[in-house]
Amino acid sequence: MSEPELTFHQLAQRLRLDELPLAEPSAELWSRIAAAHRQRARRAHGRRIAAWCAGCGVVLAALLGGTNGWFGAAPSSADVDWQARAQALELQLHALNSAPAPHFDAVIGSDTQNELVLVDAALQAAYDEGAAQEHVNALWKRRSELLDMLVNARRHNMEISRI
Amino acid sequence: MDNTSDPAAGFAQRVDAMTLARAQAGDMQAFAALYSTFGRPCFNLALRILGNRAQAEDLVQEVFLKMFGVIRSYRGDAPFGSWLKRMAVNATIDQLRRQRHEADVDAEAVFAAQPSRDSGGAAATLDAWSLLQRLPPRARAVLVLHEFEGYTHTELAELFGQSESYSKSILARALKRLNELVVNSAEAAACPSQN
Repeated sequence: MSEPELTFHQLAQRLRLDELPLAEPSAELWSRIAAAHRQRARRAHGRRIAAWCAGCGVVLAALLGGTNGWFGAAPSSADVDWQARAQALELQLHALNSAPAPHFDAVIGSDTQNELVLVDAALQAAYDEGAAQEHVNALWKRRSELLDMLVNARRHNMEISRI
Repeated sequence: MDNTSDPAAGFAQRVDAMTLARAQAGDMQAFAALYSTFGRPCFNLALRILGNRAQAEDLVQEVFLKMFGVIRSYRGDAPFGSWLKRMAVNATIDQLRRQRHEADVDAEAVFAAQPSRDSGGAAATLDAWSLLQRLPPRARAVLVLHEFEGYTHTELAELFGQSESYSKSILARALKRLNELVVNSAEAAACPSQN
């Protein structure tokens, strides 16, 4: 006996395909996926950090390569980091001030220190107002010069006192 | 008929914009919400085609990990479920390709690779699931995608990288085989003494 061939819909009815049960994935599947995602994210983060470090290395190498002149020739005024220089002088001055110097030139010291206070105020104002870098550099340069004067005066008085 | 198109259970479920935005920002809880909505339909699609729970779970993992990686590129041109379903279907077809159960070229080769087996005798129950598993994987994929998921032959041709006549031929052969299995099973049930 041969039955007529059924269409898919007839087959579906006969086989109750509409009752094909929906299966549930195992309960641990999500934790597996989440763990794999975190692991991938960590790896990607590690790769980003490695790329960032490599980028920094390239930039550093480029900077060092581009500033070789600093070590070979005298720097022009524009090249000097007046801020760093002022900070170094301030440390020197602080060290000198901690040593006894009874004959310190009070007049020179006072005038210079007064101007230093004014320059500090001007610098603070320049930063607050977002002043141009040239203006800020000029102030740091002046601060550096004033500190230089103070350091020299202090050293001179120390030498005199030793004599 | 199409269980997976049930809006309450399948890929047609809606995702709220907030969850989507959070997922696009990489929020793990939003990913968990997307999984709890679409993990099951994705698993069932893969299970029906691959016929193996472990493989289906691996495929769900692969699809969700991929989705997490590319969700920022989802622009909302299609419903999110359709977008994800497409990803799941592509991954399933890729999995079939990797398995290389049968040649890709023609329907004859597909069915020759897995000849029709006896339905199991009178004791065998004619349940849909076991019948689906008696089809070659590629034929099962064409049948499931066409009859359950509503894919057209044009779409199937694109998915499989074949002509439309290829998927039509596979589908016709799959239905023929299902018919044979049904008839054999009915005959076996009618004549239990012969088994």
